Amino acid sequence: MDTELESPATQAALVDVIIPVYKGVAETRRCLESVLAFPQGAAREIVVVDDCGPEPALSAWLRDLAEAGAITLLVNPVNTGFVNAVNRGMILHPDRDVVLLNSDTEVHGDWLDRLRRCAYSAPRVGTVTPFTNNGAICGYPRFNHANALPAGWSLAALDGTFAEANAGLSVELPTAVGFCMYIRRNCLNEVGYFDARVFQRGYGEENEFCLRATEVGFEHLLCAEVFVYHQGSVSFGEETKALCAEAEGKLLERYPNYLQVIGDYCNLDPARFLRRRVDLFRLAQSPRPRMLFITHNWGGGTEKHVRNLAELLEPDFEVMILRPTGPDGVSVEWARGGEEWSGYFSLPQAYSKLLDYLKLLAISRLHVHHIIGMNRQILGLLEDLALPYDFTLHDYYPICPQYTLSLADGRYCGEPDVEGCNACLAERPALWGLDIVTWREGFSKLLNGAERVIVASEDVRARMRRYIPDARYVRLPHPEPALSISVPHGSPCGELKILVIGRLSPAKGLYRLEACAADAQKRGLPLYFRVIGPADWPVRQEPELPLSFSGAYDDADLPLLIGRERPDAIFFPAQWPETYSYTLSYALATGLPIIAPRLGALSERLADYPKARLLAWDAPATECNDVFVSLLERSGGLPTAAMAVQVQAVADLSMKDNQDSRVDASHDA
Amino acid sequence: MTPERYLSQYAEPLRRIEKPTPVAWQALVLEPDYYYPPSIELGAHLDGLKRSELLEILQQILATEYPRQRFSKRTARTFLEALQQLRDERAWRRAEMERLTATSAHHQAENDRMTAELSQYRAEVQRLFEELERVRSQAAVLGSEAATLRANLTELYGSSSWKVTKPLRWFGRLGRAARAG
Repeated sequence: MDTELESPATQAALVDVIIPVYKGVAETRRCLESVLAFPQGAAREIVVVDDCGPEPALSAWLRDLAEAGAITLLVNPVNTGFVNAVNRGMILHPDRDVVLLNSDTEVHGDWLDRLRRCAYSAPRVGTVTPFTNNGAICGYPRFNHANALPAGWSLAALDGTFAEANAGLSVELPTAVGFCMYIRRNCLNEVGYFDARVFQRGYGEENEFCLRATEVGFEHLLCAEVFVYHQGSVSFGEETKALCAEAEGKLLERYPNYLQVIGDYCNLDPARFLRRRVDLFRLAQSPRPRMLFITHNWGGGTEKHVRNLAELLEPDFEVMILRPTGPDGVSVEWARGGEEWSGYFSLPQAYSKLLDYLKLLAISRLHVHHIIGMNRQILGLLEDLALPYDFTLHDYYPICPQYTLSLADGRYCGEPDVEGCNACLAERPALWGLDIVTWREGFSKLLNGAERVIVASEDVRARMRRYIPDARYVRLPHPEPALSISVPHGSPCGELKILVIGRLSPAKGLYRLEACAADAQKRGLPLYFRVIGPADWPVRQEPELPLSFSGAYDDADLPLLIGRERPDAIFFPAQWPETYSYTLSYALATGLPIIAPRLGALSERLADYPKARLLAWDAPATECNDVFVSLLERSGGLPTAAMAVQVQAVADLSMKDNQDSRVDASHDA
Repeated sequence: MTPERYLSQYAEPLRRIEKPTPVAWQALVLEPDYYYPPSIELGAHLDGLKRSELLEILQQILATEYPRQRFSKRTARTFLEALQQLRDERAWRRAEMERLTATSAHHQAENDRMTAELSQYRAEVQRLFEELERVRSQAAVLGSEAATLRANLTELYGSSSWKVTKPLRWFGRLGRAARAG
């Protein structure tokens, strides 16, 4: 056991760079050309193991290189598998350190010298792995992601950045990652080679080797000053996932705590500060002006808008997002796609630090989207930074802490007078314990100070002007790409399928929908209510009522999910004056009948939609159901003569109601 | 609104913004703790440190906390005992976690078993429904056959041949009764 730190110079004179090759002409060429392009301080021999792959052109090119003396070529007459190929390379010179390099990698500069310095930075270093774009726990910019290179950054520039920002730095890893792995010979001598019997085709063999090495006291380091490009999954393609799962099973048989060790490492993520240093190096290079968005951490439509806007601004701005992490802290994140940088500041202790940091970042404009859940101190940020700012209204938080203007049961409060509001607040106290007058005074100041108060609908502007008349309101409906959703005709089960889209809270009409389903059940109406999204609170549903929820969904899947449901109509049971409603955009794209309350942005956006049916926002469930049933008549699907009579009656009623609503909507607009 | 149109209107006042003054990247680097959310305990960072770094920290603590006294075996023992207690607690927590995981797995297995049983019952109920349906349709067929026979019988009783031969049947019954008597 070596107890003294050895210098690289005293070690074996040569390092073998072992590249097992199976297929992928273009990737292998790029890899070898990058290795050959940069002379290293350390003498190295490039050993390529041709494992009898399916591409003769690749083998021929390797033979040419070998004949020219550029590489040492070992040719396997039959395919022996990745691990055997690697072992054959490592056995070739039993006195040398080795670097295993996948054939779909690219290296730059004095990469090998830097890796080697790291390998000899401590006596018991067994393996060293560099950072890469696609290499699990060694991944950059995002940890454990298959990243692309950051936009506008070449391998040369990125590797140079790592070399400068993280010179001489490393952290301990639980295991090396096989795309590029420096192994010291004394480690190989004590631990042995890779287990080709168990891990013949690759994946998991380097982890098993490292766990064996750890057991006899070797360390595995992440060399933070080297970045190697890794394409990933070239040799095995689609098989990669299955091979990884198989390898994990084998690893767990030998090392049952393997996942726990990796999990602990991922939770602590000790290399995070090293990635952050490179992030900041790159951010400092960016010539784009910086903006700071302030928002909540509740997700939903606000988050969607914030993300969309940040993405739109990406070509010309660096957008940072500040949001609460709890009542006593905020995070600041770099919102550029594919980036991971974020910092955390506890309040009130680190307020000055946050302020100074935002000034250092050269933030030149703010955009407030929401401040719910935020420490009150953040309100001071606008004054302390003294920068121009916009304020987008995603709900009515500036005029009421019950931001949807709803009562406890989710129903629209009707905007009572100050006494009524204070009585409401006495039952459901506001954040920071303010009465309604103080609340509105504070926010009036905030909104009046904004360069623009952006609203997505006229309804919001009109409603807000009643309380804060002097703010500079600008109407800008949210940016959305054109949508087109194809819905196959009608549900096949002989009943009318009414679809509701989105997460349902009481204010979004959860209880109203339940009442509709209960009424349909009671009257034996051929209606079925389906919600794409979860329910915020428990309600009766199938099999008790003709109502079911799909649970959480991804926005990107929504067109597919809507089409799959084959709905006959879409219902918005909202009980509050919506300010925009992204889900309405999806509904409009279907061309289906839409039934919505005559309240807020919904009625405004549906004013020109020919298949809209607008109801009073507090219409009873029976009335809503009568309108749904009237749709059956149009589709010629009347189930009984008795119902036909009923349907005719309600159809007349709904047509009249709709004509009224059109008039109302035109007044609103 | 299309993204392009939105951007052109939204970005109007942003055109006045000037490019930022270059800043040295080192000035932007925060202390490592600022990169971790509050949910990660600072103490946990010790686990992420290398042994050499831990040793360095220990030496710094000794230098600042015990500048005038030697680090006695007794103090070291106290630290080691505290460390052992922490390790024991961690081991206990891991064991507890394993126990809970095992319990959870047991409940899951039980749940799976009951789900399978429920499926069997459902299949049985389905089978019984089908059986009932079959018996019902059989009963309907038999009922219809009985109705046909009853109609035939009524027709027979009403026929003139049945009425004309009535005395013959009466004498026949009388004769059979006399033989029996």
